[in-house]
Amino acid sequence: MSHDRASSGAPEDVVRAYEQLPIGLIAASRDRTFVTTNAAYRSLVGRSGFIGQGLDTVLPEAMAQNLVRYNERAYETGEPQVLREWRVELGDPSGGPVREVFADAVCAPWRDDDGAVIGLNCYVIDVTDRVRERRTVQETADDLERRFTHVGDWLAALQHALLPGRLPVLPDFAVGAAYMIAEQDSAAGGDWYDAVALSDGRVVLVVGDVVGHGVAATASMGRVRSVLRDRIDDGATPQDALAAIDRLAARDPAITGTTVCVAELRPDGVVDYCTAGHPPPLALEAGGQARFLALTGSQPLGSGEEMRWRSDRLKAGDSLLVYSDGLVERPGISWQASMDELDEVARRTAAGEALRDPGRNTADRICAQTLELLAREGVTDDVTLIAATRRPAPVLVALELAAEPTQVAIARREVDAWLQALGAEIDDRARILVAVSELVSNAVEHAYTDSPTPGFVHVVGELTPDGSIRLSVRDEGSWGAGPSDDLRGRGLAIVEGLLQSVAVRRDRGGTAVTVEYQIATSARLLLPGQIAGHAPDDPPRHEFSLVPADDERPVRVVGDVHEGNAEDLRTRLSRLSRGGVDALTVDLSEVTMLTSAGVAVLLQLVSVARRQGSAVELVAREGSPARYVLDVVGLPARTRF
Amino acid sequence: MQVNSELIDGVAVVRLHGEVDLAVREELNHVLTEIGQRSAHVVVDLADVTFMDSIGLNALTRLHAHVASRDGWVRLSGPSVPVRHLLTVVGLETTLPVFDDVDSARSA
Repeated sequence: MSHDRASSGAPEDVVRAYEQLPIGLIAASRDRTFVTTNAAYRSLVGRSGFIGQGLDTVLPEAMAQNLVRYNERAYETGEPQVLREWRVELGDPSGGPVREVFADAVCAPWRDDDGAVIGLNCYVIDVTDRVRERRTVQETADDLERRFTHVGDWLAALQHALLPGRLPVLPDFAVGAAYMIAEQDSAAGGDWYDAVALSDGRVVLVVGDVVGHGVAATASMGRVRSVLRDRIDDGATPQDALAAIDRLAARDPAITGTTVCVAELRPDGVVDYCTAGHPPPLALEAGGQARFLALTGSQPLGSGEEMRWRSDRLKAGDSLLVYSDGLVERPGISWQASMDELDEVARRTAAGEALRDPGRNTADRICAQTLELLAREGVTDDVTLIAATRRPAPVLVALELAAEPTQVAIARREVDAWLQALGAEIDDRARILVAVSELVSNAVEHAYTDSPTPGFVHVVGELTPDGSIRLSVRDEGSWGAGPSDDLRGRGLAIVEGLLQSVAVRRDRGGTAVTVEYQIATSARLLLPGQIAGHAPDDPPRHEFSLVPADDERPVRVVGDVHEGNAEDLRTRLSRLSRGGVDALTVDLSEVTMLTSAGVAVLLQLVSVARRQGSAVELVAREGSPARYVLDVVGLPARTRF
Repeated sequence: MQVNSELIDGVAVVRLHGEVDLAVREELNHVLTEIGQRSAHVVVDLADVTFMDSIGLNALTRLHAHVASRDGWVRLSGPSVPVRHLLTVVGLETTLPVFDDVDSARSA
């Protein structure tokens, strides 16, 4: 005990530190009586006089809103209980309005020297601002929802809300994305994309497509996207994260058959990627060449086979385009012709030879224009594109300015030119420029009041590897007694209100204020009607027929297989194989069109049969449309029966 | 920054142009104090303000305090999205109500 005291400082210092810690702290005894609280906690809750009082008297909300349950669970399990973004409504004892507070909290058992649990130790952090900010973003999506006028467009709104509207702005890559939701409700719902920036400058691009359509597919898409993203955010390698959604898909039939392409780009240009039943990424070289990367030979998610990865390399200025099969699956055009056209169009947009579009970065232009140019005649499925261009960004701006009022505008102009060169959007720029103005003004006004000659103000802006602007304003003054204006306080409050974090450091050498703010660009959502030249005619569709097996040949599928009749194909083939019990060979050589819905059905038949210990074998003649599609998505097909 | 002002049906309409920051604080305070002394009802038109920070907000709240003591008001018209956002961040949107244009601010 005495040793502990010596190493943890004088008791009065510990008490002072506890009281002043910027997170809320509470200790309560077993009978729910408060033992200690600190200032941050009292301020969060908006009450005082806790000590010796019962939880039910001082904080009836904790009882009413069932927070007590987590205290009880901490006692029962002996383990800390973690609450994230817990919403609490706090009443005002003096009759004011009820406050809504979001808090992160941990409640841990508090033990005596013998290890017996005598109460709970908790900390609470107010995260209300963070949650509100996120809600504002969601409301923007809601506005979009209100703009939809057709029945069923709520599905598009739902899908939009589940996709990341904001893309990172990074030192080594420009990132862009565009997507269009299918016109027919029968096809929309399953596509997603993502771009995850990591702290060492890597970026992971993802495009996936969940089988099926409608709200069920959209919900499944939301789940699989979240799991993949969350794993990567938590530090898993893309390989491990992909394995996690592969396992998820093996357990959950709604996700089985999802195709996905994951590509991890490193600042040195190395690309590690996996095409799981998904068409290959397209590399667009700065010199004007285009090439599809090799397929990795992996099956769609949940097929029970290992995910295989490959490596490739982008040179400086090259772009990588990842897209969903909706882009190549267009009415009246074979996959082969469509892939050739994609190659050509994307190459031209990358080289800036397509539409005029000033002010967009290369990756953004590739996505938006390729989508527009290829989807003009209509699409039958969702179309999603994401691209990254290897580019060196101007990661730093450094200014030394005389501490004079006229220099404030100069600081803003220089920083804004830099932000524009990075590709920052207007809202982010406006926030950062107000911060520059406030911080430089403070330094000009207050830093050198005690010195006979005005000194300098240093402004340094930096783009961090994971896409945040870190801005630091430093002076070498002493901050003497300035005018007792409320400006200083209001200025800093504004900066805090506009940006995420503000840190002030003051020492004998001067004062430095550093702010950090994550900037982003927007993905482009195109609605089918927005594309010029678009003709909303229903594409002509043909049906397929099944020719029964005879002594010479297996079952043959003849005609078109698309989202409108794929379910029918499944039912009929499933019946022929008695639910996967009997081995079955299917000849697809005479299939004239095979869309992703058809591919998904075939994959399901193959995996159901495998589970039953039987086999469904696919056969397609070299050069036939079905063979091409099966090759592109990496489904094994024999050439000849 | 440039300022011009006129009196329309007993309401002072002050139009600010350009950037409002530390460099124009004295001038802005001077102009607004003078207007606050002449008229208790002021519309400040921000449609041509390309940038504003807390210097501008402080001058406007000071004007508001000045005329509010005589049952007057200050209304803002036409601020850009960033300036509007700034007013919300500091919680001034009720003290200094915002209108789309000068006419709707005057006749509100």
